Amino acid sequence: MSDLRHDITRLVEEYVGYSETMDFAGKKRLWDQDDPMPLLMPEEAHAPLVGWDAIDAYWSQSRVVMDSLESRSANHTAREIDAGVALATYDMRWRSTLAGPKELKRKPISADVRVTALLRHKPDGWRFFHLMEGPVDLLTMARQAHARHAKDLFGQDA
Amino acid sequence: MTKGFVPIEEGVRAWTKAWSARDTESLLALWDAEDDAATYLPAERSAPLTDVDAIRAYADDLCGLFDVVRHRPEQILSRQISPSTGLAFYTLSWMVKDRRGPIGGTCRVTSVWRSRKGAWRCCHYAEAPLAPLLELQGFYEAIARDGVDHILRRPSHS
Repeated sequence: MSDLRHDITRLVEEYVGYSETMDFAGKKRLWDQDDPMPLLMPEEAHAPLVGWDAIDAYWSQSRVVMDSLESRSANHTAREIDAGVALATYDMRWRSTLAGPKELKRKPISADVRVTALLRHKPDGWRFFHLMEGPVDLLTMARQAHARHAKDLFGQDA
Repeated sequence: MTKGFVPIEEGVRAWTKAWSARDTESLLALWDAEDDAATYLPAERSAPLTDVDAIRAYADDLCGLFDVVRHRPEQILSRQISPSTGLAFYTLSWMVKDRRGPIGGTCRVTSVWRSRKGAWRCCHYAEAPLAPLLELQGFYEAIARDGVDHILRRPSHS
C-alpha cells in the first residue's frame, strides 16, 4: 500500500470510528478548518451542507435523531490529483438505531454507501474539504433486496 | 477563476448535453483519457468503472436501451482547486424512456475536472442518490398528497 493510501485509509478509519461515540467534534478535527466553504453531502440530506454553520448544525441534529450509530469502511483508494490535493474513495457500512419513544423497541437499520472525498494536505496531515455519501439507487436496492429474498427462500437454487 | 480557462460549469453542461443526445463520442471526448486512474461511479453500481472501454460500454448500453435520455444539471457549485484542477458539485435531474414509459429522478454528483490544453476533462465522476429509504418515503408522501379519492379505478368496475 502506498504511503498516501495508507495515511488516508487510517484517517478514514479514524473518521468513521468517531461514529460509535457520535464524536462529531472528533470528525470536525479531520476537516480542513481553514477552508471557508467545505461541502458535506450526507445520503439522507436533501441538499448539500455548504459551509461550517450548515455542517455543525447537521452534526448537532444527528445526536438528536439517532440513539446509536456505528460505521465501518472498506475498499479504500487514494491518489494525489494535484500538489497537496487528494481524491479518495471508499465504501462505508453504517448501522443505526433511530431515536424514538423509550417504550417502543426499535430495531437497528443499516446500509452501505459509496463515498467520494477530497482532502488537502495540511501541517497536521490530510484533511477533508469535500465529502459525498452515495448509496446505490432505489431500483438497484430493490433488486438487491429481492436477490436476498431469493437466496433466503431458495438457497442454492437462487 | 484562473485567466484563460473556461468555467468548469461549461464542462458540466457539455457533459449532460452529450448524455441527453445519447452521444457517447462527445461524452468520451470530455473524459480525461490521459488519466489511467480516472473513475466513473454510476448511481446503480456498487463499484466504479475504471477505464475508458468500460465507460464506453456502459454509455453505449444505456443509450441503446432507451429511446430518450435526459440529463439536466441544477444548482452547480464549482471550485477551482488549483490552476489545473476543478471540482463541480450539482444535482442531476435525469430521465430515461422506453416503450414501458419514463423513469426518472435526481441524484447528487461530484465531478473532478483537469485542465488539458486549455479545456476541462473529467477524471472522476460519482453519482449519489438520496437514501432509498427516504426516496420511498417521499413516494408514499406524494401519494398521500394526491388524497384517498385518487384511488385507481379500473374501467370495468366503474
